[in-house]
Amino acid sequence: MQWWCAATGEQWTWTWRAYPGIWIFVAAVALGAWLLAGRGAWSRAAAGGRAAFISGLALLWLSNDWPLGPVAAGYLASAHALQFTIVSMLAAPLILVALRGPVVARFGERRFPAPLRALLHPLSAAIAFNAVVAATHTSRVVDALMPTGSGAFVIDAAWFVSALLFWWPVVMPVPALRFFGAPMKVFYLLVGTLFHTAIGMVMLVAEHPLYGIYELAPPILPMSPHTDQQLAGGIMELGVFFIVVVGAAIVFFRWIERDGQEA
Amino acid sequence: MRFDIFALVGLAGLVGCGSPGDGRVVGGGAGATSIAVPRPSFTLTDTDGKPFDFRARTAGRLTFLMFGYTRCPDVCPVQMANLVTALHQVPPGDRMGIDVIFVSVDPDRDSLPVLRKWLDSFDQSVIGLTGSRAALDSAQRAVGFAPAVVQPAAAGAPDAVEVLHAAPVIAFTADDTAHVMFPFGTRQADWERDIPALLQKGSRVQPPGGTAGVAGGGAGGIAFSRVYFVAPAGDTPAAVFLVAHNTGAQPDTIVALDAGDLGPASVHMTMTDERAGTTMMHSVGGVAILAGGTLRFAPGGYHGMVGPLRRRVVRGDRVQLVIRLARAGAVAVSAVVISYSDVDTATAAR
Repeated sequence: MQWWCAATGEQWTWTWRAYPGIWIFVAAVALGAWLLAGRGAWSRAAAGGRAAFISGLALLWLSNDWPLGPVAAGYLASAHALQFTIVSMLAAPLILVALRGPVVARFGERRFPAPLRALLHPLSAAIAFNAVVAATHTSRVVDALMPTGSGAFVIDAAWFVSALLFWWPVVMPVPALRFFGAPMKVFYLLVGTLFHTAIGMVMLVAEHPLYGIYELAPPILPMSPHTDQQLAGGIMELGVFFIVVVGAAIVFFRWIERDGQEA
Repeated sequence: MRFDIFALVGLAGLVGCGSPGDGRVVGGGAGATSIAVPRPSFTLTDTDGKPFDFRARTAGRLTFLMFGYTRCPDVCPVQMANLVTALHQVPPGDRMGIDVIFVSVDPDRDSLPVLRKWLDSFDQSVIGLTGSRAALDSAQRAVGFAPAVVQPAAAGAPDAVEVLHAAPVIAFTADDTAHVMFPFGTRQADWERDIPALLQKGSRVQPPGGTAGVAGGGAGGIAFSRVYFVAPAGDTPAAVFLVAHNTGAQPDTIVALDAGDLGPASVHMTMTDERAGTTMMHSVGGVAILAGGTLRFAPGGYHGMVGPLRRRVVRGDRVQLVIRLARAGAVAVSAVVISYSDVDTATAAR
């Protein structure tokens, strides 16, 4: 039994497989969120917050577990891009949105330690997120790490953790940053994900398949590895862009709404 | 003897299509393997139902020969797709001089129409052959492969049986000899790089690490393998790493290195002063290769130096070098140009 989805080179079958590492990971995220929110926070949380949390956790689980997880790990680059988009652009911000109320209630008045403030600063968060995105999309890293469960876990976990960092300044009002108002958040979201556009473009225009694991994988769809890679590029370009635009719109219109109420 | 050894190579490359994990290269990028097999003579049946004399019909042409079967879930479709995709990049004039021949080793399930339909899904120009089990076994033995084996598939596999067969694609060149075979893991970029060289009459695609420069007639002589030319950063000299094998009964000595128009070349040794913590390089006049011994030119030890370079070389290029030996004389070798980031992997002892 594999504990985490990896590129095995095996012929794909629709027979269900258990990946216990993924359940443990999702349970650990749930436990971490519960500890961060504090005792009794969930019972007081609004229905929307609970729904966001359950949705985020479910997306995290579904994008990593069978069948999308193993297909993304060893068969289709496009599935890998879809997995990345779900984990980084949906699961991570939804979980943070759910935690927003409890975290503000618990930590709103406290002063964060300097290292944590530095880590959650928009600049360092954006740099960390894009560094992870860059490293985990190079062919050497992908071909070296994806064939083993631990290697694939490193990539998948790095995406989720760096995405939490990236979305934190947008979603969480703590630690308070005076300069980081709604217009800056919109700017941050659009500029902070420009690198995804570049990666997607490289996938779209590359002459050859970039990743050995997908080029040499047993075929599961009547689609060449090159076409699959172009589809992955399209998902990186359009999928991420669409979600970022929606996220930026939410930030912007909430700001307008709040401004109107204050006036 | 060579064929016996090659049969072992064939066995080593025997993969079970549908058999998870057997002999698979994940994220491979495997390179060509050096061989020497004359174009064999065997006759099978083509997809039109007519006899196909392999040697007579393909003589003098670049011919890619692979064995497999149409229900193969992994190796065959990937190998065929990558090869055919690369061939689509070859200019039409050159493409006319290339044959791709797929021999089905599963005659019970691969009827001629089934075989034709499967090949057409890749390219209509691919020639499909099959035949009786005895004829197929004979054809595989003729190229040094162990005959394919049909066996019950693993539990849960879509098919009741799987076929274990040799995965490499053998490339016969215009001199009617196969100098290289391409294992599973050969990527489209590898094919596109190597096909133009194979198209040259009698040309050879060197295996990774370049060369198989042989002095003294092979057996009993000096042979070089894994010859790497490390592209320098900036104006610094390039380094040359290699492995020399002396299979003879007499020692020999590398006395000089000649890089032709690339620039002045010499043999150096890296010396480390442990107490001072300094490393220096010294030019050496000769490096002995003991009888029956192996000598490695590697980082931190003996190595060749070429430079300043008179022309630019880049990763993936091949450069010609001449290694001068005291007894065996001059040996021409072809070195693969690598970058510094490749050195550890390329020179790791195997």
